[in-house]
Amino acid sequence: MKSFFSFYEKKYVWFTLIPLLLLVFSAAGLLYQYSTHDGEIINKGISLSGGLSVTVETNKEIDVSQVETELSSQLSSSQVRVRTLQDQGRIQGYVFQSNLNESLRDAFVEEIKTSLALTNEPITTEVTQSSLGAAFFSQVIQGIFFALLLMALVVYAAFRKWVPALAIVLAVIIDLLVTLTIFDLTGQYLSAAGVAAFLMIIGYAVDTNILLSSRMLKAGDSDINERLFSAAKTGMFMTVTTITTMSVALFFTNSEVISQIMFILLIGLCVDFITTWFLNAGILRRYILRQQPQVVKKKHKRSKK
Amino acid sequence: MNKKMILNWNSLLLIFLLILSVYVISPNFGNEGVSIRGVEANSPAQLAGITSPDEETRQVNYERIIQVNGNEVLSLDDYYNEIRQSSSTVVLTTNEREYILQNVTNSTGLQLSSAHTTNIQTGLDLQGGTRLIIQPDEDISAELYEDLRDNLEKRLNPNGILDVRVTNIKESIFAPKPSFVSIEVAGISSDEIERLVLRQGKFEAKIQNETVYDGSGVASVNTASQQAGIQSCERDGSTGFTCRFSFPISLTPDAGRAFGEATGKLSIVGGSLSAPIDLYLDGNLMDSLSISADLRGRSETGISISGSGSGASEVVARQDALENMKDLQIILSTGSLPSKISVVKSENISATLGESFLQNALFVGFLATLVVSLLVFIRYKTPKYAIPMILVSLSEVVLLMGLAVVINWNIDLASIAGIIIILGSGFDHLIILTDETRSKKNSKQRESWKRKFRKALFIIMTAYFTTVAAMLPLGWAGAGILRGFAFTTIAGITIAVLITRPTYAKILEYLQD
Repeated sequence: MKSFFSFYEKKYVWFTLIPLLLLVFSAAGLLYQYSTHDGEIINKGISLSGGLSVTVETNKEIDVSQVETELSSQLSSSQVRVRTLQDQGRIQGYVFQSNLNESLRDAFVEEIKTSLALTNEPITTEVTQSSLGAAFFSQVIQGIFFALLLMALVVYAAFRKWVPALAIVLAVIIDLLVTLTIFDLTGQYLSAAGVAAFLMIIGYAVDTNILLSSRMLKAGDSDINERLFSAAKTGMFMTVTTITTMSVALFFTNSEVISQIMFILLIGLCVDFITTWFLNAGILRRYILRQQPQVVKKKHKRSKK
Repeated sequence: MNKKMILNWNSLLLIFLLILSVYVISPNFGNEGVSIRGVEANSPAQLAGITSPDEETRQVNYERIIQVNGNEVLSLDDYYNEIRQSSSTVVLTTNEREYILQNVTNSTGLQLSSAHTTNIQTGLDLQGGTRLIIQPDEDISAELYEDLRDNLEKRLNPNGILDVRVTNIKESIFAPKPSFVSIEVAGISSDEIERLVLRQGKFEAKIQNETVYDGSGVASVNTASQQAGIQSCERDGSTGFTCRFSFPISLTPDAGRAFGEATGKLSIVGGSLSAPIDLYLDGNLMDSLSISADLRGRSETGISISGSGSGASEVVARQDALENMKDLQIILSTGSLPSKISVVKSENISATLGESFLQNALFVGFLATLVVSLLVFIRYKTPKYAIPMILVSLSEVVLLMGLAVVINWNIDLASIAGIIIILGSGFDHLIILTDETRSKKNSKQRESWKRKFRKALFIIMTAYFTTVAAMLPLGWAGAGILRGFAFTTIAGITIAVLITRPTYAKILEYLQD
């Protein structure tokens, strides 16, 4: 541990570059997404972009990609995506999604029934107008800005210092952007519930970052490495427990809604791990060393002993 | 174990609230079968004597069907399978008595859900049913939104006996008036609902293209079976049958007078007047009735409305005509909606899918708690912290469920995701509390317990306010489709910072003495 700290002490500025590199990667990723997906930085699912979703409960095994092409060609000018619903490895059913207009709901259901040779299986349908999804989306974006602003104010009110407050905001913004980029790369489609997960990332990221700032800035007269170490011990354990909860939920859930929320949170927590302990910790360290040089002196005195 | 750990205000308050929550949730896991939530008017079930639960009955005490035709039913799946295989006479055995339903064709007219084992109300995505979010095409005032909501509720639930929820939804907490109306009906298909909801119901009676009276002139609609019903059925070409229905309506005296004035201007041709009275619904000509000569100039308040239905066989055509008649009667008696409306989101969720989600979610929540508890145990190498942590986290969930029952909140899938997240962040904060207050061996001066607790509280409260700030906009965004998630998260963490986490801190104080 000691050798790590002496290495970290010398090179901590380099560590802060890792999250910043992630930010560059994210900018590039989002730009790529923007240029290849008609100016959309997010693959919006039907609950955000409008369209039809049909869930069929059956334990029949089907060739998903074949059904996908079959349905897409029958319902011309539309893309049909099919996913399998599973509960602990058992097939529970299939979700069919398409950007078709709502008036084609019944036709869509009929096509699916014919192509799967269904009889009386329970069917769930969901139709969303694009206007609702668009309104929802723009309101949530406003909400995220509002939350970030409020977060900066709360943190400023708590510490009365701008640098730690802005460091947390920067960390959270990187969390959100990098998570979004990684999510895009997986090729999944974001649902309204997934948007909620992005908002929850803010909540979780604040937990660990505030813990870190509070331990670093309000730790009385203890040595700066000790402060960081104690924060890391608690904070990293918190992240481990949360990641475990999310993984269990992600692995065992049979619901699309829960699975997407957990998937996004999981990415977000991993990214936040990097931004908290590399970026925020680095910024705080540099800030403290500039503002309170006695923290270093104290340390030297102690090491002389 | 220190006595003080329990005999302090925080712990006693928590225990009291827990008992209260369990009491309102009133779990009864022995409940089997399917619960009856509502009965459609004039359906085979109602004619057999089955009634809807009254408002005071809590859902755990709803009447439950336990056998169909002598075969046990444990789930909705079982129930529908039995009904599908049954003849037109169905024997239903409930936990109270036996009913014999006659002439069951495609539906018994029951609104059902899996047997309720608690009073926690689940959202449509967990129990099945239809949800529509609609928006008026015109910009209407707040009062007209109220009218719209009342009118829709009356259309969907004319006898007030079904489980139907119609609510106005604002776009943000600050919005002066609603922007959407949400309609939730358990166990009825969306086609049926859309048929009733999507028609504005703007009724007009015109003579020579002049409006004589409109929907406000309709005083009452006669639904009694002596006067209302099928008039005739006949073969329609070679493919099917058409049946005609008719029913009388009474007009207000004003509308009757207007009719008299308008007919006074007409001349008599043969046995009737020179122009018919044309009835329009939403701008479409519904019927054109010739007026008999003796009504000329007379104030007449009775008129007959007719229409038709068709189908491949006479039975189907008859049923279609009766359904159309029922819809028309409801629309005419509830009057016109203040604006044309469009559906912006419609969901029709099968009940069995919801059932499987719920069981799975319980399993996932249990497993997640177990695994995290194990981690906590390993980290602190003593059950001293792990056990109170588990108890406190679980009581957060119980209190939240109790609150949901008291304020009639529906727990939907997104709420369950919220609960799992609260469990996760709850453990985070309990870990902060534990670590902040554990005495550090190396630190020279041991901080006072209060000071350490305040530091932990500071972190928790800052995180709390930020999370609430992040969740608030979700409560309204996009017609509130994620309101369940936002509400559950905010309510859960509020309960946590106000009640459960202070209790854990108190327990810690005694643990570390």
